[in-house]
Amino acid sequence: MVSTHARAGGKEAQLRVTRQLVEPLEWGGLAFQGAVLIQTALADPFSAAGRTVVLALGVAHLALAILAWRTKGPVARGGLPLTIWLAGAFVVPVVVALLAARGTYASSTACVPGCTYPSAPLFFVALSPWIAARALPRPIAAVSLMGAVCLEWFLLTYAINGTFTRTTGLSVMSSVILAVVAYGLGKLESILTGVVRKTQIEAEQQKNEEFFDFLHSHIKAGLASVKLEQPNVRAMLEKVSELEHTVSEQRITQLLSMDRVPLAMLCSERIRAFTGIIRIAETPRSGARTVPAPVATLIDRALGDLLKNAVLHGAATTWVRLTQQDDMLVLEIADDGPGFDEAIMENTGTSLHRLRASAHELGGDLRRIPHSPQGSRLILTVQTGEDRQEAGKR
Amino acid sequence: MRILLIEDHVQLAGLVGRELQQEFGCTVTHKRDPVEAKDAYRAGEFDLAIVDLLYEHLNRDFEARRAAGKISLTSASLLVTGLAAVHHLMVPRQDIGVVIWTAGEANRRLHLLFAYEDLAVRVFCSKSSGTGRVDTLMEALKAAADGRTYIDPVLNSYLPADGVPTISDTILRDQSKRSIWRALALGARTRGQISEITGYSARTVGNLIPAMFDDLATLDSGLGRRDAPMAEIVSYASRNWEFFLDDTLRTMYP
Repeated sequence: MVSTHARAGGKEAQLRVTRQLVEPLEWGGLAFQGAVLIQTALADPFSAAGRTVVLALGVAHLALAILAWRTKGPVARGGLPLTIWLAGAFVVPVVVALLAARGTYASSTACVPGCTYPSAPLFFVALSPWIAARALPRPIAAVSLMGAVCLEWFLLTYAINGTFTRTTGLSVMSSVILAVVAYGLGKLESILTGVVRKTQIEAEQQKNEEFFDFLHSHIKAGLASVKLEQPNVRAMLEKVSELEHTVSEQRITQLLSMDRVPLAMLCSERIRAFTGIIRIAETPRSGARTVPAPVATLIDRALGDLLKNAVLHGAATTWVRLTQQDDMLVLEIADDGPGFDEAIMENTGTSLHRLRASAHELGGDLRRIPHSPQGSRLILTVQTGEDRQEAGKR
Repeated sequence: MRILLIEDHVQLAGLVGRELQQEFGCTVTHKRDPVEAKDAYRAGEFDLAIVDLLYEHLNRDFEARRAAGKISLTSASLLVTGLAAVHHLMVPRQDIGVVIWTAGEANRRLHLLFAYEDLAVRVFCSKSSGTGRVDTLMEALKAAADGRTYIDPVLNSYLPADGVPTISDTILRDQSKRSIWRALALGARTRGQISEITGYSARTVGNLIPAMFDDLATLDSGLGRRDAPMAEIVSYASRNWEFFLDDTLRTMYP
């Protein structure tokens, strides 16, 4: 049941990715067709009137390409626009063939005039599984379309020239090869999209499963230790607190794996760990603010280390403030503990020293405010500009 | 005190109700979600209400309807959350005290902001307070009864700092943009798909996207400049779909 849902979800995701890929590219297909017609009009032999018509068709396609770029293309529109576009793959080659100068159609072994015109629709049909799939099973629809396009060139060549020669035969065969290549490229692109999406889904699933497995095992182990402590309620409650702490740590780990971290959630999760242990008289408001992962990691470490220090050194109350000053985020943590000497900040073995080094890496600093009326007051600054975010990631 | 408790975790609701009753002599009526609570708060027999924000079973039902393609921007109802209960309780009766009671997770952060900014809720209590007892909740209930502000330190960070632009002044400011946010939350990813859902032309959608990103960057000052505003707002809408598809939000901001 689950795997069926997963497969359906994966297929749906693949379809969504393909649609996202196809829709912005559609204008390119029309522009390609326009360019093919203009090139044909200029390079292949036509009567003056015929050349004008083919040229006009090319310009019309370019106009449609602009329209598709500004709004939607035929695939995205579906229905009649899509039908007309697909029908064009059959109609335009006939028009080009009828307008070609007498005795010149399929006279080049390179290919027939405008032979790459149907390539764009064939490419998109191969790439877009939903086109024509509703009407016929996909392989039949695709083969029918390919076959019809290729057969049309044979029929046109025979109807116009009355016979097949080696040259006309090679001309049509070259056109067929180009059409098959276009369809094949679309198909390849479709397969690649599927493979990429499948790999992505599998990687995401694996990551989630690993995360959930660890969390699950932590919870099971935590609950087992709670049971083992019975009937000692005090010890049981301690184990519950430990379990709560573990879950919170796991949540923070997951939070910090995001590109942009909601500051509110990070602060909330860290502050939650210290409620009931120390009085937090002031907490910051962050609203909808997010920060890049490196900045969030530093703030998380600062909150964790500094609040823990306050508890360890016997402070009863702490104050946490977070403000933005230009492009610097300023975290201020004060407590009413005994305070500490500046030399501690210089000791390489302390968390404060390491925290300051990390702040420097992100263009910030960790400072102790001396002679604070309260026990200790530390200010962490961190730059939140784009350049610094990139530096932090590196 | 007569309390209406709207909470989907039945076991937790039962324990909290029992504690409030035994320890503080409150009369507690439990309802599983705002839909079930409709008749209860219409009757107006309560002094206070404790409201959770998201309800797992309602989310699951909505997800199933969405996956089956049964949700559109004009559907009779979208996702029902705690905002519905707050809205229905506070609009007809200004005197009723409402306590928002939540664990506080990423997918509730815009709901919390909205409840504070637009629904003027001033009492917020965390489900996992430090003591593990109902005394924090009782403190919150007393504040709600007295019309005082009470904000649990654990939830304070979710609320807006002074002078920061509100959600309604930024991402909810304009009806056409709201429709696009909802379409994105429903799963639309391209201009064409958004156009199909909203009825706006793909060109209009394309023109509105940069402005929507600017609105978002005003709300979230940490967002900064981005080269791909479409990708950014798509990601934001899908991460916060519960908010953009909130039924009460649509009622207040169609």
